[in-house]
Amino acid sequence: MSEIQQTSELEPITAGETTVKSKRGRRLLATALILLIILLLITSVFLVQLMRPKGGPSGTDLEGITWIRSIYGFGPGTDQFTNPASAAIDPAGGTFWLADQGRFRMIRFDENARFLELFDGDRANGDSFDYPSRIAVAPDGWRYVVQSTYNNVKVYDEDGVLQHVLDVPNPSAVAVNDEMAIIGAQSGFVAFDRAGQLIGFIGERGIDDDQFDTVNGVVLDDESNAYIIDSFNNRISKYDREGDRIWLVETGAPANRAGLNMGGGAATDALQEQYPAMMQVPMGATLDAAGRLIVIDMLDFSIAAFDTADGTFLSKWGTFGREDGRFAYPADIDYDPALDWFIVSDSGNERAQIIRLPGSGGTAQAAARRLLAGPLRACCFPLILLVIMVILWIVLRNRRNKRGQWVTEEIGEAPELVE
Amino acid sequence: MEGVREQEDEVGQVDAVEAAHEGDSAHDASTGSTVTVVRRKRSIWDDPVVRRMGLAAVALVILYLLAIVSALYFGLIGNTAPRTIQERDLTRLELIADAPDATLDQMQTFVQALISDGQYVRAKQFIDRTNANKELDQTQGEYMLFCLAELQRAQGDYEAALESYNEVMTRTKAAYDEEFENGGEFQNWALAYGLHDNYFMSALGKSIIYREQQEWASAIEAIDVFLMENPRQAGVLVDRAYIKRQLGDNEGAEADYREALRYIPDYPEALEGLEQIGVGE
Repeated sequence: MSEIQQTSELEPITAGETTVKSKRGRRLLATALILLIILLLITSVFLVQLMRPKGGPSGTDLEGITWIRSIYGFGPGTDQFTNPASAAIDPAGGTFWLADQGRFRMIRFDENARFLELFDGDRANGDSFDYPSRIAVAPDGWRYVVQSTYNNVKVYDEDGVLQHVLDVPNPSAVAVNDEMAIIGAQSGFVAFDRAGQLIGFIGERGIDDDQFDTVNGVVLDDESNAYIIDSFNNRISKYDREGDRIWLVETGAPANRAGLNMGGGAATDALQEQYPAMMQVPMGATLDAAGRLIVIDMLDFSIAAFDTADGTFLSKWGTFGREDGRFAYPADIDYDPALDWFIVSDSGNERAQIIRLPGSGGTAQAAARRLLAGPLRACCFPLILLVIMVILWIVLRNRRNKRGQWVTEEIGEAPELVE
Repeated sequence: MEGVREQEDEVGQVDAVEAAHEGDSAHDASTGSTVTVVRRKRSIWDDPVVRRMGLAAVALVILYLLAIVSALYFGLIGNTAPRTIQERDLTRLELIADAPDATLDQMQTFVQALISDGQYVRAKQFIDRTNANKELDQTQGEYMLFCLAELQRAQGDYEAALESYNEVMTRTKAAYDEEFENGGEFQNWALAYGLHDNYFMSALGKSIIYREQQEWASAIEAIDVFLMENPRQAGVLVDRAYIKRQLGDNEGAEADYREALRYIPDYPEALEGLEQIGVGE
C-alpha cells in the first residue's frame, strides 16, 4: 500500500498521535515562502537604494583616505552648516560636537551622524557665544568654547551651565583633559587648571624658536604633554607638563616669511628635502590610537601624521575638492578611538566629514562598532530578535527532546515493525 | 503491532483504515501491521513541516519590518539632512527655486539638477507647477519647455525631445525677432543680449541625440549652431571632431582637436584624438 506509510522512528510521539503529511500544504507554503523571499529581496534593494546616499565617492581616488560619511547639517535650509570651524569628540565615546562659527552654535551628533542636540550658550542665564572658532570637550563632559572675537574661552559644565570665562588675548585653539586646559593663542599658549585658575603662559609673538605666530592647534596626551601647532611659523613642538620643550620640527616654509612666492612656497626639490611634510598652514590636530600626531593643513588641503616621540614626519593624505572625501580649507580634526575614525571640519565645503586614515591603530572592538555605525545598523534590531528566536528555539527543542526521552522510558523501546 | 499512520489529505487517498473510528486500532492487511488512527478535521497546518514553513514566513516578515523600523529609528530613511555634496546642492537649489523671488534661470537650474540626479518625477512635477504659474513670462527663454526637452532626452524619448528642442528654438527665435522688430530700446536689448542661451543649448541637446542615433550629418549641423555662439567650448569641439571622424573628415577633426587644445593645452581627449588619426606629437 502506497498511501499508508510506516515509520520506525519513535520520536516524541505518544501513543495515539498521527503524523500528518500534507503535500498540498507543503507545495503552497513552499511557493509562498519563495515568493515572500523574492518580494523581500526586491524591496530590500529599494530600501538599500534609499539608505545609500547618492553621489558619494568611490573611495579609490582619495589617496589613502576612506570616506565614511559627510555631515552637512541636521536638516534642510538653516539647519545646514555655514562654517563648521571645529570638531570635538565627546570622550564618553560615540558622539561628537561640531561648532558652526557662522550660526553661533554647537551641534551634537551620534556615531550615525544623527542629530542629538543643539547648544548655543547658557540661555537660562542670559548667556550666548559668538563665532565659536574652536571647541573642546573634557572627559567629564565640560565644554570649552573659544571666542576669538571677545578674547576669551567660555567653559560650560555638562549641563550647559556657564562655569568660567577664561580671558586670553586672541585665543585660537583649545585642548582639555582631566587635569588642565591648554589654550592656544596668537603669541603662545596658556595653561589653566580645571577650576579655571591660571597655571602658566609660554611664548611671545615672533619667528624665533621660543616664539609663536598663531597657535591654531593644541593637543594634550594622557601624560599632559602638550603638542603645539604654530600655524604661521609652520612648525610643531612638544612640551612636557612642566612647560619644557621636548622637540620642535619645521613642517614647511613659514607662511609669515613668504614674499610674493606663492605663500608657503612652491614644492621644489630643495624645499621638499628641507621640509618633508611640506605643509602650508597647519591647523587643528589630534592623536590617534597608534600614538601618531595627526595635523590638518588648511591650505595644503591635507592631513599629515607625525611621530610623537621626536616629531618625525610619517605620512600625508588628502586632496583639494568639493566632492565628498576631499577638502577645501579644512580647519580642525579630532579622533574617536571608540570607532577608530576622524571627524574633519571641512570649513570651505561647509561640512564635516568622517574619514579613516591608514595605520590609525584601531582595535577590533572599534571595527565592530564601526560596522554597526554603517548602513548595517538597520539590521541591529532584527539581529537581536533573530538571536532571541534561535535561543528560544534551542531551549524549546531541548525541552521537547527531554519530554520525548521521558515518554520513551515510560513506554519502553519501540517495537520493530514487521513488514 | 502498533505503528504510526501518516495520512494524506489529497483527494482520493482515503483507504480502508480511514473508515475506522477515532482511537480504534485498525489492521492493515497489506503489511500486517496495526495502525492507531486519530480522526479529526484535517488542515494543512497539521503537517509539522508546513507549520515550520509558516513560522519561517512569519519570522521573515517580522524581521523585515523590524529592519525598516531600525532604519527609520537610526535615521537611515527619512533623514532630511543631505548626506553628500550632490544631495546638498539639490537641497540648496530647491530652496532657491522655491523662493518667492526665484528667477526662471534658477528654476531651470534646479530642474536640470533633478534630471541629473535621476529624479524625473519630481522634475516633471516642478515643470508642470511652473508652467501653471501664468505670472511667469517664459517667452524669451522657453525655460520649462527646454527643461521638458532635457527630461525627455534623459528618459530616452528622443522623438519627443527633438520636437521640444525644435519648439524651443522656434519660439525663442520668434521672441528675439519680435523684440528686434519693435525697434528702439527693445532692439538695443535684443542686440545686446542676443538669442537666449536655451536656443543654443537646444541645438546641443539635439546634437547629442543625433550622435546617439548615429545621424552624423544632422549632429554636425546641430553642433555647429551651438559652437556659433560658444566657439571656445573645448569639450564640444572634441565632440564635433569625433563626429567628423565618423564622416571620414579627418582634416576637419584635426582642426577641431587643435582648436580645443588652444583652450585646454593638455586636454587628454583631444591629444588622444590626434593620436588616433595619426597626427599626434
